[in-house]
Amino acid sequence: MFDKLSKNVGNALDFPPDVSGNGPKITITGRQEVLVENYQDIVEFTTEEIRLSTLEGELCLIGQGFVLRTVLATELRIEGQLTSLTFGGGSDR
Amino acid sequence: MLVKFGPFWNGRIIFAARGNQLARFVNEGIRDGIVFFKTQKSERGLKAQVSIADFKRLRRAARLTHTRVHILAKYGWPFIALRWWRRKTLMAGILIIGLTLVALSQMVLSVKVAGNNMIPEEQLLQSAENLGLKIWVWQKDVDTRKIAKALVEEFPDAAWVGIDQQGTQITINVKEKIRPIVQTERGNLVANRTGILHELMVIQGTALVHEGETVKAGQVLIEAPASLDNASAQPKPGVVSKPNPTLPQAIPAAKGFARGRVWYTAEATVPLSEEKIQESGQSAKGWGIKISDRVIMITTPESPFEQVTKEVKTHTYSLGRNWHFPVEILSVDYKELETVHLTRTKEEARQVAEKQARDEISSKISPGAGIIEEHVRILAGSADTERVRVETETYEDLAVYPNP
Repeated sequence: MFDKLSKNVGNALDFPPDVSGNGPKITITGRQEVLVENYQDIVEFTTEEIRLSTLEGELCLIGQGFVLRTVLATELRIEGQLTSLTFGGGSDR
Repeated sequence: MLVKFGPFWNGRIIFAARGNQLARFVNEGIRDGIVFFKTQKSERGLKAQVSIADFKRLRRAARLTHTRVHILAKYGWPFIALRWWRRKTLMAGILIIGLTLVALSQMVLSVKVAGNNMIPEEQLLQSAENLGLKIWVWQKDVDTRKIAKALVEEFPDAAWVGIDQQGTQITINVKEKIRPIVQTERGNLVANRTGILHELMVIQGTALVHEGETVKAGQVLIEAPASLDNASAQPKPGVVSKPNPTLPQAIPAAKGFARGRVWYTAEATVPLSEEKIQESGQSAKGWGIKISDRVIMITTPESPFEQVTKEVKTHTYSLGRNWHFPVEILSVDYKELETVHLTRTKEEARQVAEKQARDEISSKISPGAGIIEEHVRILAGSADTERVRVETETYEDLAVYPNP
């Protein structure tokens, strides 16, 4: 209820989605570094694949030599060679 | 650098985790507020770094997910400090050595003397010691300026004393006074050349030679009357000393004159044919500018002659005393040189040699000396040279005051 309200108010006031929503914010720098904010859990983690659960669905990162540089409760900094990034499942809001 | 210093200062534990639920293990750790760094997965499990405090909190996550954790390495200052704390004696030893070195570096450990010839080193060191400059004293207690001043006052032969401190070593630099050489011959009349004495007249002092005697250059002819400088001389009774303008009035000087015959010889060898480099009379001029060390010739950059003598004049323009215009004007004067082949007859070569020898003698003869006799001897030389010796006999004044 509150999420929907804040999203509607955000839309009305023309706020950017990362401010008004709770979905993940993904910052990709080149192919070497990915910063994921507002994730929920690490579902799977190998050097080739990282799957994270977010409010927007499951975020899947495919690549090589993945290292979780810093793992914090709301922020995940990933290093490695990124090949693809896909979303799967989750609610389409 | 600072980014690296943080992990080092706080300490990190690098661990490996093995189990079937490694992703859950990380999630549980995150829920407990643990921060994972450099988390990597390999075939053998998971490798990550956590801070020392977080490592203890990993226990719950490990228990929940049945994960086995073991430490691979400990990194950072807390572990180094702990290792040092276990070796207290060694650390105390290092600290004591460090403190001793610091203390020793604040002391004077060596005192040397340099530049002394007349003043004995032991005396200087003893005086310096009395003034507080010795080994095993604190450097801050040594007032080098005051000691140097006191040493100059104490040693009359020292013109200047400087104390140079380089670390724990102190060097006392001494510059000694150059005392005038006491002239024992002061006031005496001595012979300026070697010759035969013909006339001797003593006005004041004692004659030490007689007429007809051969005297050597430097030999005392008339000794000055007794004085402070020449106590051995006995003044003649009844002779009143007159002041000599060349000597201080308090010192009576010998007076008189001595004339005699002096011989001079000079030899010269002149070849019958020779190559000689001389100026041809041709010349050229050029000018240019000079900026710093770089010279740019505007006219006549190269010498127009093969053999040349070059005269360079620099004209500097300055504003006031200290500022000089950076561009200088150069003027170069080239004078051509040529090699001349001279051929002389025997007669001509002889005349040239004779002239050279005569010129040499003229430069040696005392001014005012009268020439009594002159001989020119042709000496045996090689076929292509002429060798001549000129012997001149003069009659001149021999008596002079040494270093008037």
